[in-house]
Amino acid sequence: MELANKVELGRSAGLAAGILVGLLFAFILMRYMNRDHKAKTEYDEMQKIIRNQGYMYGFYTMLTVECILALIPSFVRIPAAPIVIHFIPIFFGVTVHACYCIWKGAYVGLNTNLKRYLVVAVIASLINFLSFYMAWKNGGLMVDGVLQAPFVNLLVALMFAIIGIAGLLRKAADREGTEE
Amino acid sequence: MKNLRLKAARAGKDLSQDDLAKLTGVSRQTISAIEKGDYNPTINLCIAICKVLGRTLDELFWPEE
Repeated sequence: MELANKVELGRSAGLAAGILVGLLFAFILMRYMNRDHKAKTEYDEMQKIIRNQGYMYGFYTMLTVECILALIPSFVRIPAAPIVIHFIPIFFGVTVHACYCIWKGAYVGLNTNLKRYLVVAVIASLINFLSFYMAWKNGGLMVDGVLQAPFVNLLVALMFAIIGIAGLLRKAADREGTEE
Repeated sequence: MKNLRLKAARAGKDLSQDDLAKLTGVSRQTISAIEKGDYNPTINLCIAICKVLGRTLDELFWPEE
């Protein structure tokens, strides 16, 4: 096996291990963020309906972005590593789903401890932004004019920022709005 | 169509939307949506609300003539 292939294989294995550790960490965090310390977040009947609609919009967004990204290389080369290209539709889909649910009041579950959730979201956002920043400073963000994996960290930080802004806007609208 | 009877019954019991939500096991947003007429609750939730507010289904949810 060529050295380049071995390096690529090692990088992929590292990435897969990273994703698995991330999933395990997310599972533990879910238990921490829920008041009843269950990994499953509970939603009421209206929230479930809204979240289903959110998944639909998120899915169609992901599909649309994926199709656009699949077509672009026919015209121009996308200067990004495959992992970056694959994460862009996920970023759009998840952001659309989260923003829709926030706006309709179905993002925070019945058993979610909002303060803990906010702490975790801010820390996750900062870690991702720092990873991106360090890579950028060390010249690992672009290799031979191609965007590398640390760009995904920026996307994740950006997603948390957008979710945070959507939450603040919703809160402001709630304050002006209905109650009593 | 807004459900003003639900809003009045809740206010009559001196409950906030948040209080009623906690007593019926749903989110405050769901109670708000029901009062605004943006969401039609299931019969189970209607019954839970009626029990908390001490009213009948007819009084709170049957359409007015």
